[in-house]
Amino acid sequence: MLLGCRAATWAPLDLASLPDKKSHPDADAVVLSEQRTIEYFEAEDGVRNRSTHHWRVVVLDPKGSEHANLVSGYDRSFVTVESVRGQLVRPTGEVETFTQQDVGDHPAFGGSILYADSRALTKSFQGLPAGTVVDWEVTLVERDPTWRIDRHFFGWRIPVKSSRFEVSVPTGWSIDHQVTKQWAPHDMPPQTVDEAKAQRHVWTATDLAAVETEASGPSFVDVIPVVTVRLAKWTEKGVPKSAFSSYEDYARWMFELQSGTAVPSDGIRTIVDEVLADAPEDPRVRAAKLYEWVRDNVRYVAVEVGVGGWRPHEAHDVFAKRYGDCKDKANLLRTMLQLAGIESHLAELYSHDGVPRPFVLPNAGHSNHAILAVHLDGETILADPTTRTVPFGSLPVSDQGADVLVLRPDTAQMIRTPQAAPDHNNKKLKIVLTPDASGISAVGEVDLTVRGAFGWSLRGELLRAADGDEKNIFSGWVWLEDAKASKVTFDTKGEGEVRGSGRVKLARIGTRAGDRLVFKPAEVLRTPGRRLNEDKRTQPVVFARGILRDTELRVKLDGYTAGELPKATKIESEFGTFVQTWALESDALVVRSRFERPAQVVPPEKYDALRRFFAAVVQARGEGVVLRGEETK
Amino acid sequence: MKKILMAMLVVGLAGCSHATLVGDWAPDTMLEKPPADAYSGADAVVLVKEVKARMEVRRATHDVSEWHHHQAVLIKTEAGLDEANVRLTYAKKAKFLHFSARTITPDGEIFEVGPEAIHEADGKGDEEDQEYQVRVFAFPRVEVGSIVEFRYTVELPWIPSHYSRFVSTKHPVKHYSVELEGPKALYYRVKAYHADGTPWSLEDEGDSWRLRWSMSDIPAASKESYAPHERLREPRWMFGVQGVSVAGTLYERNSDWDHAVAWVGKRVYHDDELTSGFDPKIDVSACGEDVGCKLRNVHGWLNENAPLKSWAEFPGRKLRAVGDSKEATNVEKARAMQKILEELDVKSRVALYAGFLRGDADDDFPHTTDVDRLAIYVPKQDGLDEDLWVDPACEYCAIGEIPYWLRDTRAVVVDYEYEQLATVPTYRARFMPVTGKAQAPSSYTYRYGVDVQPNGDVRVRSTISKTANAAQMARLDGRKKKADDWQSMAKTFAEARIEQAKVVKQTPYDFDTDKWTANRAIEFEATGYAVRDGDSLILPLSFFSGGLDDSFKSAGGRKQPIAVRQLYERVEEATIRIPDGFDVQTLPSGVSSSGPFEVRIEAERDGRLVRIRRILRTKPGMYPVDSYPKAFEAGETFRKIRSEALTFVEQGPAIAGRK
Repeated sequence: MLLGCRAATWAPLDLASLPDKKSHPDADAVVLSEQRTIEYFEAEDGVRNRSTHHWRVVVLDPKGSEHANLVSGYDRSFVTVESVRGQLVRPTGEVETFTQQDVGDHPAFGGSILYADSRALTKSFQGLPAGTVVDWEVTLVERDPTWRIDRHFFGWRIPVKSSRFEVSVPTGWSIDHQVTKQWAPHDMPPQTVDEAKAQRHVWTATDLAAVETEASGPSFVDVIPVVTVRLAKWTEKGVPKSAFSSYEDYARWMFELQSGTAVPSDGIRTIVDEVLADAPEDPRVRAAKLYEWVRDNVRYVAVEVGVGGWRPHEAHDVFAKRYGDCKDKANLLRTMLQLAGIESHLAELYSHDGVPRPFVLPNAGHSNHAILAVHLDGETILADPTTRTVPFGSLPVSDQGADVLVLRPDTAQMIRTPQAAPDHNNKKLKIVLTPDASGISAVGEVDLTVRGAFGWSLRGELLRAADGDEKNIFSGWVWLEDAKASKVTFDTKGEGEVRGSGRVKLARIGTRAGDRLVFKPAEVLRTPGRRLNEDKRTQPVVFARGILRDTELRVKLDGYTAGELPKATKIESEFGTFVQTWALESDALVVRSRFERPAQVVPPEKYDALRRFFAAVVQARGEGVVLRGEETK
Repeated sequence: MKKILMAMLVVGLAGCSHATLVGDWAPDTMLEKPPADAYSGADAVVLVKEVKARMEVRRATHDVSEWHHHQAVLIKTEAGLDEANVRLTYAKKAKFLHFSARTITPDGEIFEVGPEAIHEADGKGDEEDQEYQVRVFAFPRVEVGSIVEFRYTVELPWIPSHYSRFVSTKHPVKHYSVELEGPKALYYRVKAYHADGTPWSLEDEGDSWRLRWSMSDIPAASKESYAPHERLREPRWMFGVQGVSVAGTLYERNSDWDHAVAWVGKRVYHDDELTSGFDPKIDVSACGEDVGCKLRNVHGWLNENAPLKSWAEFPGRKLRAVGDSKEATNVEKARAMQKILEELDVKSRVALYAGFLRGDADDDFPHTTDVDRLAIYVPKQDGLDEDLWVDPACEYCAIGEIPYWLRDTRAVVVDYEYEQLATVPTYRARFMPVTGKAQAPSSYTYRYGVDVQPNGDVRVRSTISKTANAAQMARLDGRKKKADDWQSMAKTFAEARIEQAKVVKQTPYDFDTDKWTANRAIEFEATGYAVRDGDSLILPLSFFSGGLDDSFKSAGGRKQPIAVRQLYERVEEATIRIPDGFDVQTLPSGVSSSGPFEVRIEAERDGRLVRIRRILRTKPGMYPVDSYPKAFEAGETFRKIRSEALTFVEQGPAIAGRK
C-alpha cells in the first residue's frame, strides 16, 4: 500500500517562490502540481482500485479562483468516497482547512440524462486574493474496476507546472497502458519501478502550457496527452485472472452482459406484425420500417444506474414505457428485427463533435453511444434509432468517421463509419426578389431544398414547431437579412430531402442614392463561412460536417437598368471552394453562388490560410452593382 | 400590533391530525382538450395547476406544513415533450407523503408512472443548510396530444414564513388554483397581483381557516422586448405568515415592516461573521467633520478596490472575501460602504429598494422579496446639512447624485435602536423617497472618419466614447478581457458595420474613472465598399449599426406596455471626406421621431466634409401599449439611414464644361 500518496500532511509549500503575474502574465492561476495515484488491490470480495487525486493551484488574479474549485466526479454504483481534504493558504501564510463535510456532494446528471448514479464532489472558490494556494485531495475506492479503463489527462486550461500519474499493482499483477495525443499514439513512456510488494508505473510531465478554449475548437481532451490504463493480469483468491485479450473477447463479454434484454413481449410482436403488415419481403424495407417505428415512437430518456450504463433495459419495458436511451432504443429495434427474422447486434462508439475518438484498449469506457448493426444479405447497415429524423441507411454527423465496435458473440467487427461528402449535406436556395415602389424594400419568392444533415435538422425543427412557427423557421433557413416570411409551406414527404417555399418581404434590398440603388449580395443574404475572430490560434478549427450550399438570387429589373457587373469569382483552396457569377438574364440580375466545404480539422498552422479563404468569400459577397431606376422619395 | 392581527381571534391550536392532502385527478371536464386552433403557437398547455397547503401549529414539536402540487399538461408539439420529463427538487428535511403521475394518451388510454420509474437522489452544497433531495421520473407512452398529469404532497417540518409564486408559465395556463388552510393560531396575509382583481375566498371552519383563489386562461409569460419587469405584469400570489399564537403568546414574524426587515438589519449591522476581517484603512483626515468628503473618499476607495462585478442577491459574501477578491456585487458594495462609514463615525443605514420600473415595496405586504437591492441612506448629521442617498453600485455618480435606476424610487430604510434596558436591538423600517440630483444621461458616441478612394476602397477611423453608466459597464466588461479579446471585439465591431472590413489597428478602452469616460479607437478598411457607376462613386451608408436597428421591427401585435428604464443618448456620426476630384450630390434628408425614443437623423456639408449623424435618446417611463406605433416609427426612422447612400460625382473637364 502506498501510504505516501495519501499523506496526512501536505507537500511543503514555499510561498516566496510561487509563480506570479510576472512569470505568467497571461494566466490567472497556475496548477503547481496535479497528482493522480491509482492503486489496484485485492479486497475480501474482489478487486478494488483506490484513486487519489491531488490538485494544488496558486491564484494569480482573483478571477482565476475558479481553477481552484474542487470538482470530482464519481459513480455511486461503483465508487465509495474514502476521504476528502483540502487547505487554503493565504498569501499571509494563514491556513484554512476543509474536509468532506465541507464540500458539496451533488447528483451530477443533467442535459439529456433523466437519472444516473453519477455524482460530483464540489467546492467553489471565488475572489481569492492573488498568491493564495489551494490544495485539495480526494480519495475514491472503486469496486470491480477490472472491466473498465481509467484515464489521466495531462494539461488544463491554465499552465500546469507538474502533472504526475501513478498506477501501482501488487507484484505479480500487471497493467496495460497506452498514451495518445489527439487520439493518435503518443510517445510518452512511463517510468516503471519494481518494489518489494508492488510495481509502479509513473508518467510525468512538467511545464504544460495552458490549453486555450477557442471558438470552433475541439474539446480540450481531444488535444492533450491522455494515458489510458486497465488492469491486465491479477489474482482473486489465488486464482489468476486476465483482462480481455482482444476486442473480440471484450465484445463477447459485453454481449453476455446485455443478454436477456431482447426478449419480445406480446405487445412487441403485435406492433411488429402491424408495422410489417403491408411491407414487401425485402428485408431492407422491413428493417427500415421497424427502424422508423422505434425512431419515431420511443422517446429518448436516459436512466442509467450501475451497469445500466452498458446493459440496456429490457426491451419489453422500453416498449411498454415508450422511452429509453440509445442502447434501449437500439436493443428494442434488435428485438423487433429478430421477430422479423433479421439479425442485428448492438454496437458501441464515441459520438463526437467533429473529432472522433478511437478505442484504445479493449475495455469498457471508450464509448458514449450505442447503435445497431443490422445484417442484411451479407451487408451490415449501421442504424441509429436515437436520432429523430435520420433515415435508415444513414448516420447522423456525430456518428460519421467514427470507430464502431459491433458487440457480437462470435467475431469482432470494428467498422470505421464513412464521412458524408459535402454534396450529401446540400442546401439549395432559389430567391426571386422584386424591388417594390418604395425603392428600398422588396418582396420575393423563395424555394428551399435541403438534403442530408440539413434536411434532418430542418425536419427536426419542424417536428418541434408549434402552429405558426413555420414562418420563423423558414426565415431562419433562407438566410435573408431583415426578411419576414409568409405563405410558407414545407414538404417533408420526399425521400431524404425537405422542400420549403414562401413569400418574403425584405426591409432593405440595398442602399439608395437618388435614382440609383446599390445592390450587394452581402447586404441581402448571409455570407457562408465561419466567423473566426482570433488573430492567432493554438487549437485546430473543427468542421464536423461537409456542406454544399447552392444559391440563386434573382433580382427583377422592372424599371431598372444594371450598371457594370462584378467579375465572376472562383476561390479554390484545400478548405473548400466558392464560386460566384453575375449575369443579366431576360428581366433579371442573377447572382449564383456555390460554397462547398468538406468536414475537416484544420490545424493551427493553417489558420491564417483558412481565414484568408473565408475573407475572400466575404469580399466577393461584398461586391455590388448599381441599378438605375426612377428616383423615389 | 397591526390591525390585521388584532382583527383575528386567537382560538387555540389546531393540534388534531388530518389525512394527507392528496386531491383527486383532474375531472374530465378540466382535461378536455381545447379546440385545435386555440393556444396557437404553444408547445403545451397547462390545463390544470393547483397548489394546496395545510399548515399546522404544534405546541410540543416543530410546526408542519403539507404542500400538495397538481399539474396536468397537454402536449401540443414535440418541443412540448420536454414536459414529460420531470425533476422535483425539495428540501432534505421534507417528507414525500404522496406521489402519483399518469399519462393519458390521445385516444384516452391511461398509463400510470410505476414506482420502478421513480428515481431519487440527495445532495448537499458546501454549506450545512443546503441539503436537498431530487425526485425524477419520465411519463410513459407520451406522444403529441397526450396529457401528462402528476400530483404529489410533501410535508415540511416548518411553515414557510413566505411563499410566492407566479401564475404564468412559459406555456398558457387554462386553470390555476390555490387552496391554503391553517389554524386560527396562525396569522397570515395573502395577496394576488396582476390578477384582474380575482378575490380570495375565506371560509371559516371553526378552529381553522381556508383560503381559495383561482384564475383561468392565463397567457404564457411575455417575451417582448422592452416589456415591463415581470413583477409589474405577470399574475402572481403571495402568502406570508404574520405571527403564531402558542399558549396565548403571540410570536410575530413578518407582522409589519419592522419585523420584515429585521433579518436584513441583523446581517448588516450585527453579524460579526459577515463583517470581521474587513478593515480597510481609508485616510479621511483631510475631511475633518465633512461627511460629504468622507463619503467621496469611501466611494472612491470602493470604486478602486471593490468595483462592481454583478447585481446579486442579499446578503452576498463575507466582507473579508469581498476585500480579498477586489470586486463586489451591488449588495456587497453597499454593505461594505455601510461598514466603513460606521468605522468613520458617519451615521448611515442600508435601504432596500426595487428601483425604477422594477416594482416597489408593498406597504400592505411586509416582506423583502420584492425589494432586492441595497442603497445607503446617510441622514443629516453633524458635517452634513441634508440627507444623502448613495448607491455604491453607481460608481460614476457623484455624491448627491442618484442613478437612473433610483429615479422615482421609494426605499425601505433599515434602522435599529436599543430600547430601554434591551440587550438586543429593535429593527425599524422607514419608507422614504430616494432623493438626489439626477445623474446626467449616459452617452454612447461612435464617430467614423471615412475616407473613400476613387476605386471604392474605404478606410474608417472610428472612435467609441462612453460616459457614465456606459463607461462603468465598459469597465466592468473590460476587466474580464484578455489582450487578445480586444482585437477580437474590434473585428466584430468592424464586421458588424462592413462585412468585408479588416481591422488595421485598434486600442483597448482607456478608462478615466475621474470623469467616468471610456474611449477606444478602431480603424478598419474595406476593399471596394463604395461602388463605381460611370463618373459616380456611391458610398452605402449601411455601416451605421446598433441601437434600435433590431428593435420594434413589427408594425403591430404588441401585447405589453413599453418600459424604458435606462436614460441614455446614443450618437453615431460619420464624417466623410469627399474624395479629391469628386463632389457630393444630394445629402440624405433629415428626419426625426419622438415617443419613448427620440430619434433624429441629420446631414450637413462642411467644406470638403459631409457629416451625417443619427441620434437616439431614450425617454424613460412606462408607455401604454397604444403608444407602440411611436416606438415602431422610431425604429423605422432610426434604421432609415442604413438604406441610403451618398453619391460622389467626378468633377472632370466635361462636367466643368457643362457648367
